[in-house]
Amino acid sequence: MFNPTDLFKMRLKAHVTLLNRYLRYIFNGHFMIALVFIIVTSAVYYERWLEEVPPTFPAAYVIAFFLAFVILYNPFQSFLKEPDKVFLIVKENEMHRYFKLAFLYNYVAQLYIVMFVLAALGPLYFEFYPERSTLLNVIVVFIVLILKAVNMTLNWHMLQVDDPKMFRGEKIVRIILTYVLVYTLIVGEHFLIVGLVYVVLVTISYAFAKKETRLHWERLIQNDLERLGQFFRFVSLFADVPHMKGKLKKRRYLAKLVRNFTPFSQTETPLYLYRLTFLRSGDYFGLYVRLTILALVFIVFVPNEWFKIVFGLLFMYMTSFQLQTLYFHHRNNIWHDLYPIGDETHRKSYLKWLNQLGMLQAAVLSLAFLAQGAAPFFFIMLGSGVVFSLSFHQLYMKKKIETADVHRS
Amino acid sequence: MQRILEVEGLTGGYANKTVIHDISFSVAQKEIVALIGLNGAGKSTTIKHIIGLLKQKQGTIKINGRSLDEDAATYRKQIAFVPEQPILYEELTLYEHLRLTAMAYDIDEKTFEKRLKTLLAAFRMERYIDWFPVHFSKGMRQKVMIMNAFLIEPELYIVDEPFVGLDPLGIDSFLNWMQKMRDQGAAVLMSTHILATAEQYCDRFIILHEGKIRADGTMEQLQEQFNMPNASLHDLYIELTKDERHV
Repeated sequence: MFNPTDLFKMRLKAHVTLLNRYLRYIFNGHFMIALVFIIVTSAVYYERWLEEVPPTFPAAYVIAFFLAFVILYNPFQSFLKEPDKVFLIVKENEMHRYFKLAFLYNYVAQLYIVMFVLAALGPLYFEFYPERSTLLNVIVVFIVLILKAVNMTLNWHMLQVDDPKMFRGEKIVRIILTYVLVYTLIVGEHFLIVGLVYVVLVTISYAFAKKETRLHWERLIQNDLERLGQFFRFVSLFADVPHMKGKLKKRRYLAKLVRNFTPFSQTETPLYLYRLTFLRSGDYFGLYVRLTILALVFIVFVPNEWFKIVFGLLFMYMTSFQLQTLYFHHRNNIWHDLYPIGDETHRKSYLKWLNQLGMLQAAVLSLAFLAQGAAPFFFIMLGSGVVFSLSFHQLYMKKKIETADVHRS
Repeated sequence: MQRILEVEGLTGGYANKTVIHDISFSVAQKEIVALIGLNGAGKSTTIKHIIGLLKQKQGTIKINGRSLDEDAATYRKQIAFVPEQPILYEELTLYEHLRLTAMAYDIDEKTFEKRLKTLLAAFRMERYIDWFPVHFSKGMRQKVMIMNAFLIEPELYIVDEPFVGLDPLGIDSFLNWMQKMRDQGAAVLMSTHILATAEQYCDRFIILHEGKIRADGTMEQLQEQFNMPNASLHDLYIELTKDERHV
């Protein structure tokens, strides 16, 4: 007898097992220490900034922005699997119980993000609205939670609609209106009237979306695959994740650059492959750009010059550390073994490419010092960055991938 | 004719499971040899041993007289392999696949450009030069593998069941190209289930059954061995397995 409740419990259990397995990796790595360091330092600077924040600071706008974000951000994890569209699709009518449970799980699981954001915004809120009563604050939190539930329900129904483009306009209006509503909630003015408009909009949207009574299996499954991909990408910051499949980006212009700058010769074959893979797959390129920008933000806003250098190097470390998965990206592909090219050449090419990326990053970061008019620190950042890149790749990383190759063969 | 591939007393398979038992055969220059057998007969395992993905338990495999252990790079450079299931880099376009292969097998850029043009035309893939494998059908993926192989123009082609998924024009191009390479002096070992095509295009047939070679010869030799003059490869093969079932 098919029991959707049991099925959900089974799937959830499998998911929790998976989470546990990978979370263990995360809390083991020294990468975590770097992350904690950054969070703690940020918190310290946040607190210091709060002490001298000017009263003209648009706190309500900022708070509303983040709260509206957590209200509207509702990814839905259904735990469906690819074969379900063959085996379970006949049981669609009975699956409603399953999806109800899944909905409940998603809501509760999302609460941790809400709590984190509330905790982060709390100090700012109390700084600007110290006179509010506890009851009022509890009501504010309560309303945020209700709004999230409402939006999650709407999103779930929208997910089933065949042509989501139809609702693009609705989505934009809802995003803006949610922001305005939360803003009125924070400042405590016009909340009721905006709230009334909001209720009308949501009711209409709901009525339209609810017309679609069939489930969109293809999309639900695709969604779950993407969610899982995101999770693995996150885990891959800490541990090697096998068979991680990211979305492919074409990046034709950059690919052309790679072609022009990679000599046509046998020894450069792996370099050509690593460069193209870096560009297009598994979010390597995005990660590189993101971390570089983040490093720039720290260099610009952290007041102490030496601290800036430390942050620059820390981000360089994180970038290189995460890019080590690039070496293993094609390691299990049979062409790696069939090409008349030795492992040694593969390793050399990989280290060369990572070192080039490291040098480029060091150059970009040091330019930030120059732009701020700190010429001596420009040289210090550049010098230490280059030394770091060379030693990290030629000493640490070289050993690491050599060991991995030995274990393989 | 000079022997390109020589397999001597090969016993092998996986760590806990021996799939092939003491087989010996060779493939010479200007020769297309078909490797035939039921599912599980050991065709793919034999191929994996030849291309060096598996380590043999006993016996030797030599290409032009030298084994993989003696000189891995030279050994590998002489083989082009077409796998049964196309294996492509999802993040590379058709052009980049071919360029990568040309680089890996040390073909100079001018030769690459020249061969590229002819191959693209022969397999009618010019339109897809900048496409990614995600948008390719099984047949198109197979074509990429085949083009990669013919791009290298090596001395030995190892082809594992090339016809599945290919359209009729693709099959035709493949067979023509294979014959052209043979006539230029290459050796081809091809595993397949399509017996009629094999009979028409291959010079010699190796019938593998339960990890052992049951027959090895030209059509005439096989007909003689089975005492079935004028029989087709299909008939011979059915006869052979019948024989096996009675035992």
